[in-house]
Amino acid sequence: MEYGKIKKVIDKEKKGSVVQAVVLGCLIVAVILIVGTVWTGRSASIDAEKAVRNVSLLYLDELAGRREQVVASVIDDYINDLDVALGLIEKDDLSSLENLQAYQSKMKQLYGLEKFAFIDENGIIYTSRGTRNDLDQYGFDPYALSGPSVSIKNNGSNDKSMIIAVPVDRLDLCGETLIACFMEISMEHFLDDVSLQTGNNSTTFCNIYKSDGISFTGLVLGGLSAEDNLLSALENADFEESYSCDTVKNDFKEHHAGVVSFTYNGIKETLSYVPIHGTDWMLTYLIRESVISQQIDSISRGIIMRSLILSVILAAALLMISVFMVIQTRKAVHLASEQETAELMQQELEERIALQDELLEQEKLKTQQDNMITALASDYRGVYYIDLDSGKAICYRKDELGTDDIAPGDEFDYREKFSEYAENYVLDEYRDEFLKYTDAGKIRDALKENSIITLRYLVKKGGKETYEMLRMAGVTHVDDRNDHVVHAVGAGFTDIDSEMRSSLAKNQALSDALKTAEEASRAKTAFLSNMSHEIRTPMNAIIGLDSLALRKDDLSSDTKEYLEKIGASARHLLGLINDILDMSRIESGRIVLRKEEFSFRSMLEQINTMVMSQCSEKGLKYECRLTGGVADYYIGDDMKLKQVLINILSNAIKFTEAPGEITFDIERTNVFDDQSTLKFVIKDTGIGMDKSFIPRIFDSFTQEDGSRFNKYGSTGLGMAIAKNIVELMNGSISVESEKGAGTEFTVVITLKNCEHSSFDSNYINFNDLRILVVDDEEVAAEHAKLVLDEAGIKCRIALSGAEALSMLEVAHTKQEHFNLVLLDWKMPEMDGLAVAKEIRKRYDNETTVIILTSFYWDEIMDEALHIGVDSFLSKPLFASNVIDEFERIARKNNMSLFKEKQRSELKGKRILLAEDMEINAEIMKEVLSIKGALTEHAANGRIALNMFKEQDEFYYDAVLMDVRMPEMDGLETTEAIRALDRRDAATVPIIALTANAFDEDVQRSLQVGMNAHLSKPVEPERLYQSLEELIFEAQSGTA
Amino acid sequence: MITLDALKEYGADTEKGLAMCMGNEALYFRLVGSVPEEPRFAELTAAIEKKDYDAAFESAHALKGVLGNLSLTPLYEKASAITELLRKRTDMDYSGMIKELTDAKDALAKLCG
Repeated sequence: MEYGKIKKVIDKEKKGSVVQAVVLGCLIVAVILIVGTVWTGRSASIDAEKAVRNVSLLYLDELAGRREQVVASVIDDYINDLDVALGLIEKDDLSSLENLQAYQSKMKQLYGLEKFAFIDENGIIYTSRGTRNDLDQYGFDPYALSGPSVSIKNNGSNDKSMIIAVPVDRLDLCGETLIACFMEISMEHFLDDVSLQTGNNSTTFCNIYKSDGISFTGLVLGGLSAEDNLLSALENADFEESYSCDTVKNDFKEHHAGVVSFTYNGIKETLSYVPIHGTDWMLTYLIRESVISQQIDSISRGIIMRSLILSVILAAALLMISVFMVIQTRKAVHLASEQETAELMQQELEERIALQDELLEQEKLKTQQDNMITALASDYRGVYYIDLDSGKAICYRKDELGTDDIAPGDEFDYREKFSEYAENYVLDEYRDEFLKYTDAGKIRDALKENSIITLRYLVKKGGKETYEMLRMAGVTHVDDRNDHVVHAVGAGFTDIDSEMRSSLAKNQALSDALKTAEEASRAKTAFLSNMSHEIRTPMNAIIGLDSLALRKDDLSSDTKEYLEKIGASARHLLGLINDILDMSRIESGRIVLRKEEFSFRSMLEQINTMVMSQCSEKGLKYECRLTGGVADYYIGDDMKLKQVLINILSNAIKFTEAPGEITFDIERTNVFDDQSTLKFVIKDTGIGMDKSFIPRIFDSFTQEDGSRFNKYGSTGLGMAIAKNIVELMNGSISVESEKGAGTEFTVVITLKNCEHSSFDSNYINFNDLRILVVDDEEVAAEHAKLVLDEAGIKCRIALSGAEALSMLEVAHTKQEHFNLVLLDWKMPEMDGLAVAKEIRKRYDNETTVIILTSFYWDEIMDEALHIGVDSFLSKPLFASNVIDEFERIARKNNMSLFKEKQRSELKGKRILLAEDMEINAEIMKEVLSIKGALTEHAANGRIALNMFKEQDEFYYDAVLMDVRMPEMDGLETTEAIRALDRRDAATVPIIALTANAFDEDVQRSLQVGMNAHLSKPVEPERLYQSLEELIFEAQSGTA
Repeated sequence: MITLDALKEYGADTEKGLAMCMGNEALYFRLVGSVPEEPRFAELTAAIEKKDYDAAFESAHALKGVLGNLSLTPLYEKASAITELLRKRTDMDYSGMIKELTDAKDALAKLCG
């Protein structure tokens, strides 16, 4: 409430200051408005004055200019009148003075003139009334006249008249010569003509002055000055800045136009003056500035007045708004304070209610918590709060069966009590675990992993063993604390004896059941595998013994029939067992398809071999056709696929009688991404099936005719198995059949493509294969090389028979034989057969020779085989064909990669080694000594030659000749040896040893008579082989 | 005392070298030990200095053969490089290559020492 009072005071103060501020603001605004209005009014009047003055000056200039033109034109009119009058003169008029005077009178009347007179040479003036001599009165010189002249005649005081004079052309008047004529016009008349007669109360005054300042009208400055000379009157005027009397005087004298402002007799005036054309007069216009100022002042006053009125209206409006605002503000403030007061009271009330609610809530919660704790704790025999840091514990609850002296509310050292408890009650086998579990560090560690930790253990109390559980949970969750360490826990002890015992019993029952189930499953598995083994073994015995018995010659036909039936039944039983095993595997999902690379070609071969033999046995025609780019290799399960296909094919054979036909078509129908779809169609001309049976053909144990069972000896599982396998392969199997016409099975499966490009062969390692392709067509030869290179087979090409032979010679000498020569049959000069013949002649069976041809080779087959050609291949060449064919030949000839040559044992053989490098010689000796050969070393060719010469014939079995040696190199030495006159000179095998493996080097060695050329470093095996073969050759030849 | 490990570390293909000696370790070590004393090194250097490239090629070629037989790879490679250049009788400054060869030979001598 105190606050409210203060607030009101503050509000009052606030309200006062608001009013003050408003009033002050209004005052300031009013002052600004008034000052602003006055200032604008003043500046407006000044501006207006300036503007009016400028306009006045322009107006004066304009007026003066116009009036000057009027005056000038009036004067011109006078001159014209004079000229006209003179033009009217006639001779008669000049005949006498009287006549002249009459004429003059007429003209005077006609033009309203004062005088119309002539002047003679003597200056005598002839007027209409007589002659006069007062020429000097008229202000012009008749003798100097050359054109019209305008002058002023002063008649005294303000009475002036205007004289217009023109020269005349020497008129003769009674002996007197008239030289000029003039007319006198009264000033009043003139001023009337030029409308210069002015009244009073005018703001502007127009006047004409002579250049000396004499006024025509007699009035000066609109009659303000008493003088009749403007210039002298102006001497008494106060000129405004930039104007002066002298300027005016000078302008009058010089006949210049101009304007001046001055104050004369306290009246501000502006005078504009312009010279009058054709005279030396000045026309002036005068404006009384008092008049202008009055006008301006009235305008300014009007402006100021209007501004003031506007200001007053504005101020009034402002004041009204302010008053309104003040009233509104007061109202608002009043309302706000009222509202605030209400709110404050409301708030206070609410706070009180909230506090009450809170207290009630807390009370309720406390009761609830208490209830909950009681409820929860009722599960626990004892509940404790343990501070792990201090080791202090507080007991919260404890059952009456408590085993120690702690009561609820007691604080105690938990470690001491817990160990005591462990010691006294916990059974030996659980004690360590219990102690470990209650260790503060261990609790902390365990609670990091789990929010609640539990230990079950056995205690012995009152001679009875019961299961107990100790459960702990962090009082503050680890994550709630920054250090993530549990500082205190709640621990509860529970008796879980009955639960534990029943749970243990359940577990026992479950594990017993599981054990039983597992045993049953094992038993089933064992049974199945035993069945396959145990039943098959006696079955094999039955079948075996049965077939043995059947061979006996002395069988009665009855016995034979029984034995045959026994055999058939036994085979059927065996098949049944196998099928049942298969089926059980499929049904239990234990069949897993392999995803392995396999040779489709070889799978097909195996199938065909089997089917073909069965068909030929039964007298059926069998044909297997492959179309549409079926690859050699695929990825999948070839065993299962084979099983399916054999199954179907066997059925086909089974249900087809001779002379039937079975066809097996394989087609690749689709290739997408990395997969190929293959379609297998197996068609027979057998007994076929009834359409109604077709849907059931793939069911287990179904056969159309039960009677067939005996006849065909099938289990009825085969098709079911096939279908299951095909479905496992995501394939499809379908059948079409017509009773008595035959059956067609179609199997479609998808296999993964295989990037397999090498060709597995158990028999040969084709990396060691060296093939020479001989073809005169370079493109064909290159193609063959490409195909073989891709298969990883070393291949060289020769484009003619001669080239091939030369390459073979080099290879032979280097002991790097080609294993296989592929010879194109048709080649110019030397055809394939000729080359083959030469090869056999030179190198015997060193190399396998295959003839390549695009033609049927039947016509040359006999000849070719006679020459020693091993086989034929059709073009275009495929690596797999080559390998297969080579492998086939190798198998047939029972040989390894190379055709083995006959060899001699090296043991005891004497070898002459010509080698300049001691180290090499040592190695060679070691290599040869392994085989028991005796080596004699010569440090260079000359020594070797001498050693060879000195020994008996056939002393050395072979010579190993380093090619590069000092003194005498290998080539020279060989030549020298071959040139010796002794029996072994030509035959002793000489083998070149060199690091040079270039064909030219080999050719050179051959030219000098060496038998072989081995590259260094020499491979021992190759050295042995060369020596053995060459020694055998040499010695068998000479023997 | 020379060891297989030391030779291996030196860069020699001891397995191949031993195989050439038919597994006779003693022989292999003896032969390897004789390499640094091999007079062909000096002959090669002298021939190259005299720009007698025919003789130099003979020496280099012989050395290459021996080193290859013993599979002393670091020496063999250097000798091979020189041999191939000399095979074409390339007239150039061999001093750098000879120095490398000699250094490798000296390194081997140290191993054998």
